[in-house]
Amino acid sequence: MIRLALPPLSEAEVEARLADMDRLGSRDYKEIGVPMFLVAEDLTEGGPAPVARDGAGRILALLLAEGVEALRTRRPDLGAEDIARLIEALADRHFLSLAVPAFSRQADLHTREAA
Amino acid sequence: MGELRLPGSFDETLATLVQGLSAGRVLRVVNFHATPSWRRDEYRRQFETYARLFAPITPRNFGTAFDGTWAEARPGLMPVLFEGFRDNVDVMVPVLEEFGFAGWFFVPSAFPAVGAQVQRSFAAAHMLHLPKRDEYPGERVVMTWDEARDLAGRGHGFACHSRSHFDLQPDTPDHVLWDEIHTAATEMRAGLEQAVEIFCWLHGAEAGVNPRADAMLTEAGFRYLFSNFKVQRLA
Repeated sequence: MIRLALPPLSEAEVEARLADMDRLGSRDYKEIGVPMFLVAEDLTEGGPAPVARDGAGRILALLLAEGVEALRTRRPDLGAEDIARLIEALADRHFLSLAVPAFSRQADLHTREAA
Repeated sequence: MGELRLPGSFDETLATLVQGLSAGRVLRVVNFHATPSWRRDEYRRQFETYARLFAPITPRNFGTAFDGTWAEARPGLMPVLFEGFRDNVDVMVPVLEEFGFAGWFFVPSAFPAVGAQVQRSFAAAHMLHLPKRDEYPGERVVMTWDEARDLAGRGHGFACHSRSHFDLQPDTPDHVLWDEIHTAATEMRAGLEQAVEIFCWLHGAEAGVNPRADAMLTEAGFRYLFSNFKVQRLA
């Protein structure tokens, strides 16, 4: 297995992400739609099979883990609110982009060849 | 956002989330509460975009969205509308139906039966946040059970949001749990004339925060628990 380690986020990027989390958290949640990712967990016999098969889940997992590590450099005592803010920020940035079909599967971008 | 509770340590919760995400066990939801009419165009533009990218998660296909047998080419989307406000019916439902989505209404079961003149007071006492601008002065602000039954008949989904919009604690006594779970299940069944399988606490406590509550939820017939970070199948 190839083992790769990504370099840590730069200070500037950590600052930018924290600022974005603050911006999102300051919205009026009473009246707006807030996209979120939820993890499906089966507490009965046998876990569910994967739902997303396109790697989107792995991208989110990596970004969440990276976000937690970055946040820990500023505040070691993280809590549930921090997970909520991190996932909310991930969803705000990636909810739409990770749903876009693959380039080759977007029929309107390609000329159909004659059979 | 209120006080969020975890059943275990931060790292344990993070580990389950990272494992679940990396396995692709992801459900996409958009959470709403009040949906006042002055934001109608905003909601419409958003669902116009969602309709290009997502397929609707409905009561009929919810199980496949959860268990990995989802058959649509596009990922599923679940618009969740918390509290059962009247403006969800008047403003959001037409938008959802225009773009082919099913709404999922998470209703505190006692709320629809509260008298119109008491609903604002009840809301204030139970953290049910009405919009800044009152669009129904002197009138009810909550959907009626008649409206709820009509929505269910048109393919929209319902979940029980406890009885009184309750914030579960690890030491919540059994008689309170009974009211918030069993009485709520009975009220939802009576109001909708059908049982609901999904439950969600105020502030989204997940399984393990109060194991007595978890057991009672299963006993009352609930199969899924929606929480801050997860959808958990209980039975």
